Amino acid sequence: MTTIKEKAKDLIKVDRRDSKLALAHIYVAFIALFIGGLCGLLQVLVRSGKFTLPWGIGYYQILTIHGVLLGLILTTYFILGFQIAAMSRTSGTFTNKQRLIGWIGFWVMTAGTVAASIMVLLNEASVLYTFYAPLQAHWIFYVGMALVVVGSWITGIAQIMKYVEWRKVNPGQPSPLLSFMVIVNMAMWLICSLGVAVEVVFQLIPWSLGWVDKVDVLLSRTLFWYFGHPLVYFWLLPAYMVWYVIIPKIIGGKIFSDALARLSFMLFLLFSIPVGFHHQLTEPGIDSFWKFLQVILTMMVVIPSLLTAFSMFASFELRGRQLGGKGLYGWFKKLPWKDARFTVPFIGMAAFIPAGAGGIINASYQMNQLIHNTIWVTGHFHLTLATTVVLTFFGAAYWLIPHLTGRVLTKQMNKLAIIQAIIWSVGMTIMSGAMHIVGLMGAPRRSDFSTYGGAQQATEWIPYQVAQAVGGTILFVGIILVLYIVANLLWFAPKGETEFPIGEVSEHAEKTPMWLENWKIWLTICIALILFAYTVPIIDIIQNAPPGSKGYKLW
Amino acid sequence: MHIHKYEKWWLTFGISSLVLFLFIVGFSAFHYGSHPPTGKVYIDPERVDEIAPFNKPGVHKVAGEEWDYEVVLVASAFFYNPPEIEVPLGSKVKFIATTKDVVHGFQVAGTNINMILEPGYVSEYITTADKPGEFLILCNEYCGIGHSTMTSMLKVVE
Amino acid sequence: MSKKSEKDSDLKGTLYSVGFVGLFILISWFMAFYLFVDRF
Repeated sequence: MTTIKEKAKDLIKVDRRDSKLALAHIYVAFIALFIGGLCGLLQVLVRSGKFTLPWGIGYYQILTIHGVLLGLILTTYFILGFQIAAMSRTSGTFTNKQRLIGWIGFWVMTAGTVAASIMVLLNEASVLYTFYAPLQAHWIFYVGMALVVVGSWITGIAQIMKYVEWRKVNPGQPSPLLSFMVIVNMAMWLICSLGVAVEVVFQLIPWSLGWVDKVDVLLSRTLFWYFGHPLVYFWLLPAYMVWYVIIPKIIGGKIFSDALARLSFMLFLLFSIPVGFHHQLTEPGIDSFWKFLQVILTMMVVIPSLLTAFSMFASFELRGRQLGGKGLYGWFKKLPWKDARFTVPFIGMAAFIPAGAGGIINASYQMNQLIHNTIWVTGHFHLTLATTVVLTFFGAAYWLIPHLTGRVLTKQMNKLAIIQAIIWSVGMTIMSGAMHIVGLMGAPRRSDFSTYGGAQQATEWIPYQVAQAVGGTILFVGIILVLYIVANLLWFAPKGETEFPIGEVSEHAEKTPMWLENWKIWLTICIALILFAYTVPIIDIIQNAPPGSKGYKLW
Repeated sequence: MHIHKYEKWWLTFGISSLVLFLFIVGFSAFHYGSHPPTGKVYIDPERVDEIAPFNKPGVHKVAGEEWDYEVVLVASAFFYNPPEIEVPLGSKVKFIATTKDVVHGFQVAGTNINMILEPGYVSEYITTADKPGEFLILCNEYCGIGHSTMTSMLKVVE
Repeated sequence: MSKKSEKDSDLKGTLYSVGFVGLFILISWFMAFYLFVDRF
């Protein structure tokens, strides 16, 4: 039963001025999707061996564009845009000062993106999005990357200010769940991106400018991965926000448990960061003991995802049974499968099952040798990021964009959105499936087409690479479709009111304990875990450093 | 905090599985010594050619060690030296490798030999070549324009 | 039993679903582990 008060709440609109700021981010995100996606298409075609790039464009140049635009730009911009809208919707309209800070952050990030992009286009920075030293890009590329990070901090500060303001006005009350989740994600981002900022500002920029001759390679990689793993959780948590808070409302149900949702987010804050070594398991210079210790911490970060899986199924089952679903799986049929806002993210959730299983294998210490730097890894994060996260973002865009533009998602667009997600699943199953299999056979990631001197093994990989091209081409059709829908929602869809759905907690759920929002406790544990996992190995890396490396430009 | 009975079951099952995984990999590692490749030996990346054992890359039979052969390998853009490695079937082999310039990978396709070579560090891995055949060695860490042409071959012969 | 189900809602489907997820994770992990042990 919806009361009048609840109805009124559903129609709460994000203030137009905040909408503009959120939309600015979303524009950049989808431009990045187009260009980055196009580069992805070119890559799979090249790798099939049936196509060569025209005009002397390098494979690694488009690979860099693909990674930077989709891994860093699309994600960061969409997430910040979504979070701005979410804060404004649940904690209230930004003050003029907060909004101004948001805009400053946006323009700093955008200046950085443009600067870095120009350097990549000029072939001065084909170092991929991980920019491992001692391959040395033009200094402007590193400055651009630093500006993207700093800009995201500035925008993040605006969001945190809003949260602090809400807490002051509502003492003793738990903050709105969605706002709380945004702030957890921002806290994690601020803490982890410090690592890459230190790497870029203190190591790579002075070195690329020639102020210092040499760089400590292992230290730079360690700082990068201190950032690199929480980065993937920075992508995932907004998807979890949609699953926990938005989807229950869309299906007409309730949030299964506010307290458990908050607990799982706090666990992500604690265990996403001190785990970077599981990306460096096959590297020299890091003691086995510390590698294994971080593997243990990595397994801990699986736990909040286990919690999430249960909560999702539970809120679906409760709603399906409410609608009269009988038996073990009758409730499943009762879910609103014709609603793209539900179905598209649902496919994303389903993809997280194989993605998560693969992730556990990757992190399993010596078993990492099976897959390290093979194209299995590419297949893995095309399930996590490019399916789970991205389909959830698409599903969110289908109500978020019309909400912000004052338009509605028409029936045809809704249908097209579901078709888009099906096309995406088909393309991704083929592409990612082929990548997983051929990765286990030994095919490397991040490599141009090669017959490897006619080696028998490499010949056996080629059919899978053709399959990747087929899957990748289908995915590109998916990108065109989603861009068509987004353009429609931005400029052409009929005017009207679209709800920003915010789920409510089940009336049976107990009150959320306040300790879940005690930042002093959680931040202390978070920092303590980081210090525990990293202090000794980093001192070891610095004290026992070999002579540094000069820069190389080998592309 | 109230937690549903089934959720408790699920968490118990899930966490036990994770503990089981950790126990299996931890036991293989700390009891049987099956660690991922590592190395705590340091080297000046610009003088690799002068420093033993890298002044003589190749396959060397050794005596008085736990392993039968040492494979000393130097990677540089975009080559492996030696370009071909031959070891007898069933021999225990220690791979000792480093790089002269950027970061390279050293992966023997179809085996567990898969390590990162970093300038300044010596990567080591010990294994028993117990399957005959030709195994492609390739670079799996992006190193520049010739990255995908960087190959060698491991031949395990009877 | 009936008293319990009054307090805890009926989530049998959820239990089976997460059970399937867990089984999938276990099977994939052991397949990968087997491959690792089999290779040199």
